Amino acid sequence: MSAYVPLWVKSNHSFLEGASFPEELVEQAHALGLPAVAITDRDGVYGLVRAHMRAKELGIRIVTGAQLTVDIEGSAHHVVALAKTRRGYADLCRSLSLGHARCEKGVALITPSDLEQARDVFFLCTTPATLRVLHASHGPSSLFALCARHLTDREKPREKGLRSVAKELDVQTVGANEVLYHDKLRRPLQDILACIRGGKVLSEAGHTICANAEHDLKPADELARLFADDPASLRRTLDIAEQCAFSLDDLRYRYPEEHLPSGRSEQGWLRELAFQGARRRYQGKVPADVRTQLEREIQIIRKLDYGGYFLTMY
Amino acid sequence: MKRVSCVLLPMLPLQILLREKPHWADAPVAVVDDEGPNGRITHLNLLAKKSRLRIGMRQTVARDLLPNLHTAVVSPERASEVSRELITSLQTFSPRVEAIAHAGAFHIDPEGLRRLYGGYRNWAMSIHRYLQARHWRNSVTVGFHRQRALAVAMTHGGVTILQSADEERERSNETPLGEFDLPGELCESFGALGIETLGDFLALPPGELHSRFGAKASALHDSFAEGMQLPIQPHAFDEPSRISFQVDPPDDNQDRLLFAIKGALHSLLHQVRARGEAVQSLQLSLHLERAPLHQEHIEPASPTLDLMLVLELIRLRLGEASLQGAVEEVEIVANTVRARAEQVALPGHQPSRDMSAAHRALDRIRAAYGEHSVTTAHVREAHLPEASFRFEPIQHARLSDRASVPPLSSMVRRVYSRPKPLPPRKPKEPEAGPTLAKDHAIEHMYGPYRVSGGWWKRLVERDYYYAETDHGDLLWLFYDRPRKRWFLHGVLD
Repeated sequence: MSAYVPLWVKSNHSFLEGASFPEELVEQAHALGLPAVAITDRDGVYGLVRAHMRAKELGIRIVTGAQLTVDIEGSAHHVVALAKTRRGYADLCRSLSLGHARCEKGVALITPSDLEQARDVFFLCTTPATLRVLHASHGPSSLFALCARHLTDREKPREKGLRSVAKELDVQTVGANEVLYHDKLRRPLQDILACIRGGKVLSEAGHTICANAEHDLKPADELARLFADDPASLRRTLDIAEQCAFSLDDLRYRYPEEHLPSGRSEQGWLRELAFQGARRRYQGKVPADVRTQLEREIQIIRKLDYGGYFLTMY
Repeated sequence: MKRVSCVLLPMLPLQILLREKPHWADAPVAVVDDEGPNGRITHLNLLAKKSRLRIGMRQTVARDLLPNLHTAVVSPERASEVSRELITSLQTFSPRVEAIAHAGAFHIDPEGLRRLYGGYRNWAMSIHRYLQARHWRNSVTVGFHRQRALAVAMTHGGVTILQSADEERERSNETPLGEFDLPGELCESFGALGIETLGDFLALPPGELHSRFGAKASALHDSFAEGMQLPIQPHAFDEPSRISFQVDPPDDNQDRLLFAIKGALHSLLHQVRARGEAVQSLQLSLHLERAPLHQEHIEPASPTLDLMLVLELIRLRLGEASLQGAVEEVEIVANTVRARAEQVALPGHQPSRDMSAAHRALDRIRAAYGEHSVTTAHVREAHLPEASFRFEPIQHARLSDRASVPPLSSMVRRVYSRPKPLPPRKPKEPEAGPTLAKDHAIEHMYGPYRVSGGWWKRLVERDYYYAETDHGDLLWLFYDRPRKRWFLHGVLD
C-alpha cells in the first residue's frame, strides 16, 4: 500500500513559483508509485487540465484543488482547498473568481465570507488563524491542520502552535509538504523564478528563496521518515484523496439556461411549445404516429440535455 | 503554569545504611525499626526481596528464611541529619527547597533558574549528576503539581521533564498505589477491589473515601486535588555566606587587592542571590603578614546585590585604612536579609544602562584602536547562519531594542566566526554521528535543520543539529554534505 498522496503541489502554472510542468509532476508521482497527486496551483486551477490529460494516460488519479490566499484581519494566509465533488469544484471556482474580481491581475485575495457557502470542499489550513476562522464557519469535519516538514528550523515551533490549536478545536492533522518541483534538479530554476518574482538578484535573495531543496515530490519512504512520529497524519492523505472523488471528466458543456415562464421547467416548456405547434399544423388533430414521433424526439432532447438550445432556436 | 520539581532518593534509610556499610552491598540487607527480634523490616534491598522477604516481616522470621541477612536500624535522627545535609546540597541549585513527609523526597522550586542553566533539563540534569557523583541513587522530575511530580519520580529513574499538566497526569496515574506510604492492610483492601494504580485510586469518589477507608486514604486523595496545591515551604539557610582566598605572594597594593576582592565578591553575591537574599553588611577580614588581623565592617545604605556599589564602598574604606603589613588572606562574610523580588531579578531584567558612560567608553576605545574598532552586528536576511549578520562600524552606541522587551528565549547561541571541524569518522556518515573531544559524548541530537544553497557560487549543504553532551553542554553542529564532515558552529548557554 502506498503511504501517502501529495496534497499540496504547485505546477509552473503557479506563475514564478512552481518549477515543473503539470505533466512532469504527474509522471513523477506515477514513477514513485503514488496512487494520486493533487494539483493545487496558487489562486487558480490553471495546471489542472494538462495534469488531468497526462494522468488519464498513465492511469493515476488527480485530486483537484487550489492554494487559496485568505485575507484574515489584513494579513494573507494560505489554505489548500480540495474539491470533493462537482459541487465542491464549482464552489472552489466561485470563491477564486470572487477573489480575482477584487484584486489586480495575478492576485486573488479571498475573504472568509467568500468561503462560507463552499460545501464539499476540504480545507487544509497552514496557520492557526485560518483554522479558527474556518472552524467557525465549517466546523471540524471538513478542516485539517496541514503540517509541512521541509527541515527548516522555523517549522517546528510553527507546527507546535498549529497542532495545539487543532487539538483545541478537535481538528485532525494531515502531513503534506509544499511541492514546487518534481525533482531536486529543478531547485536552481525555482530559486531563479522566486528571485524574478521578488525583484531580487540571487546573491541578495535572502529569504525570497527557499532555505533548502526539500520542496520536491518525495517518495513515500522519505516522507514516512519525516513523519515517523506521526504516521497517522500521512495516512490521512490517502483518506482525503479517496473522498475527493471529483474528476475533470465529470465536467461537460452546459448550454446556458433560457428564461422560462414562471413555474415551468425547461423540458416541460419545450414539450408544451412542440405540441402547441403540432396542433396548429394539424388543425387541432395531431395524428397518433406524429404524437409518438414527437414524444420520442422530446425524450432524446431530454436525454442529451439540448432543451435549452431548441428553446433558443425555435 | 508555575513549575515545581521533585527530587527523590528512593529508600533513603537503606541508601544511608549501605553508604555506612559499603561491604554489605553484595549481600541481602534489611533496615529494621528495632534491633530486637520483634523489630520489623522497613526497607529491603533487591537481594533480600528475591529471597522472599517482605516489608513488615519480623526480624526473627526473616532470619529464619535467610540466615545471612544483614540488618540494622537507621535512627530517625540519622535520617533527619542526612536529610538536612541533602537540603544544604540542594540549596546550591535553588534557594527554595522543602523536605516533605515522604522519606527521601524533596520539592524544589525550579522557577527563575532555567535561565541560569539553559533550560529545566540542564538544571535537573545538574542535580541528578551531582547526587549521583556522591553515590546517591536519585530521580529528578520537573512537573506542575507537587504530588504528581513525586508520583512520577517514584516510577521514572533519572531526569524527567514533563511538558504539560496532561502528560504529568497521565504518567503519574500509572504509579502503583503501593509506592505511597499507605498501611499494608489498606493496600490489600484496595488490591481486592482491583485498585492498583494511583489513577484507579483517584477515580474513586472522594466523598465516601474517609468513612470507608479512613483518614490516610482520604488525605492521600485530597493531596492530589488540583486546587489543594500548597506553595513550597523553603528550608531556611543556616550558614552565613562567606568566601575567602589566599594572596600569594602576600601583597599590600590596594589596586591589586581590590581586583582580587572583586572576583571573590562576584562569587559571594552569586551565592547570596541564589538564596533569594541580599547583602545587608559585609565583614571584611584581612589576614596580614606579621601583623594583627585587620577588619572592616561595610554596610550599604540598603540591602543590595550590586557588585560595583559594594566594591566602591570597599575601595573607599581601604583607601582610608593604613595596613600594617602585606595581606596574605582575605575573608569576606556577608550578613544577609531576604531580598526584594527586583533585587534577585536575573540578567536581562536589570535596570537601564548609563548611555553617556557607554559613549565615553566607546570614544576611548576608538581613540586607542582606530575609527573602525567599534562595531555592531546588523541582521541580514539570509539562510546561511554566517551570512545572516554583519559587523559594521558605529559611531554612537544605541540601547538595544531588546532591552525594553522580555527576551523570547533564555538561550544564547554563540556562533564561532569559523566553524570548527570535528575529528573525522569512518564512512557511513552522517549516520555515524559526530565525534567530540576526549571525555565528551553526545547524549541527544535534535534536528536536522537543512540549509542548502549558493549553487550559483559554491554549493553549501548543511544539516544542522543541536546536541546535548553528557556534560550538559548544548552544542550547535552541522554535517557538511559535500565535504562529508562534521563541524562545530557554536554553543548555547
